[in-house]
Amino acid sequence: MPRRFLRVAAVLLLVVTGAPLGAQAAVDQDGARAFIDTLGDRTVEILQDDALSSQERIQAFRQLFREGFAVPTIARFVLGRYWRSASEQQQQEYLSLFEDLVVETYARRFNEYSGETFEITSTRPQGEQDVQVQTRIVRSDGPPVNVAWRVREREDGFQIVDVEVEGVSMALTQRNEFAAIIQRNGGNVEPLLQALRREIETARSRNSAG
Amino acid sequence: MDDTTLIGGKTVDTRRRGRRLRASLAGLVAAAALAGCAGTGQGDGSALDRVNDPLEPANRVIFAANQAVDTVVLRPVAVTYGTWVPEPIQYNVRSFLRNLRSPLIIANELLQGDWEGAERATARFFVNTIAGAGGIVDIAGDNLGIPFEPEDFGQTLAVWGVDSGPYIVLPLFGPSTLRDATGLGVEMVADPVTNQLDWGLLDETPMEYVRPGLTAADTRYRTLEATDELEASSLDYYAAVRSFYLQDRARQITDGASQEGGSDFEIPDYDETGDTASRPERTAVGVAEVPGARASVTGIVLDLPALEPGSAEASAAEPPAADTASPAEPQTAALPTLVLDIEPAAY
Repeated sequence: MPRRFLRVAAVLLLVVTGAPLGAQAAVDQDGARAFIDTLGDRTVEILQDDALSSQERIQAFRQLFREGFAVPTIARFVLGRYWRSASEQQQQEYLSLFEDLVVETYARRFNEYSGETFEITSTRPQGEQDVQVQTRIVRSDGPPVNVAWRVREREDGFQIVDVEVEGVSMALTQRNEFAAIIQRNGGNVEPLLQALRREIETARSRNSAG
Repeated sequence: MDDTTLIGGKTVDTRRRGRRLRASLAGLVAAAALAGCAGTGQGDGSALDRVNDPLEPANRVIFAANQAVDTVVLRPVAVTYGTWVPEPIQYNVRSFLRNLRSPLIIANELLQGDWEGAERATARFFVNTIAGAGGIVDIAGDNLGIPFEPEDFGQTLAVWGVDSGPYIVLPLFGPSTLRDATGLGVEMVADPVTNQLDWGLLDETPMEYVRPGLTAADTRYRTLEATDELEASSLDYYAAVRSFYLQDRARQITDGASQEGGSDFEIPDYDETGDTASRPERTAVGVAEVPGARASVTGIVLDLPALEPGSAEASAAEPPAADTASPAEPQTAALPTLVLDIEPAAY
């Protein structure tokens, strides 16, 4: 009885409010899947290319990252409402720092690469316009890790807007983290930028040392 | 407390001591939980950013203390355990510890009205206890395709509609919430396995020390990689762990349904070119920044809607986060998900 009621109520509300029922059906799941497949293969290629120096590898990855990830979109989502309180100069610096942070964070893992492979397990619509492509990273030295890629179709192809590791959104985690830093510093964006600069610096010296 | 009696007579009944230890631990948890009650303030800001952590200063202190304990005790023990105990034995230990939780898991599945979950947990318990040599081999998971599903009383409370309450970092136990800490306290007192042994059927000492010890070593060893990764890539480890914990719990409560239907908060499309700053904010504004949309996104911070214990299917499929549509019409957002839950065929 309550289920029927809920169903009727839901349908009614949908009709009344005009929520797009068919919107998710239009999302190109196969395209998103193929996109992740290609991107994954290209990443593995870079990781396995012994001809590349560690610097070249990071550079190649940065290129791939810019292409495959909607970096400004992610960066702005992560900063949330504090974007508005930042000056234009701070905004520009933040965008470039964010990219550096992600690139250097991933670069750290390159040295640890030991033949992991990935397989796509399924896809589903996510949110209003995205597709979630679920993959399993198979490792030789530990249990497999479930990583889901939130993919959005844009004018010039697909791009990733979020990564979920075992169901935890990296964008949301980072957003909460950045907000905590800003709040602890009286709502100022500058201390966050400082922390980012410091973190990138540390990561760089560690990566080049490795 | 009664330390003197503990140290004083050697004749102290170990059973009673065990009970008292557990009771005081439960008391500690309850006290922390109550302390959390005092300041159930909602953080300001938007729905996605709403972090219910009024005790943050105290939590950070406990978090730091826990990290110190981890560095000095827990981590070395876990590393030693992981390095020196052969992998097959680790597997046996893990299977055995999980099997010991079976009665609690079955009870929680029943309390949540998840009959299928209860059936699976019961099947696991019998198969592994009998055919798996008392639970040291996970026959059900390995051969019958019935994997272990973690359930606890905190999750049950969530399914009953209890709000997560404020975030609390418990001494030694780590990240929790008022609700989850309450669940932990209840389980400490109510675990049939420990209570059964308290009744004198077996010497309780192994249960009192070996079980928690092994559980801690096993759990810590398995999470080492993830926590190291998170710590290395975070700027504020406390905030990262808090976000991680809350998201992970939301997923557990829906039994992983979030992988199929949750975490559907919207990520607004920002301009790809560099002129984002000059654009009027309204075009780029996300639902996350609209207070009116709060209700539709609260699930992401563990505010699950109240569900009857009987509505098992609905609860299992209920994702933690609802869609967030355009700012103007926040309620429409939750609906596609609702339809999905109730009538998958409608898709």
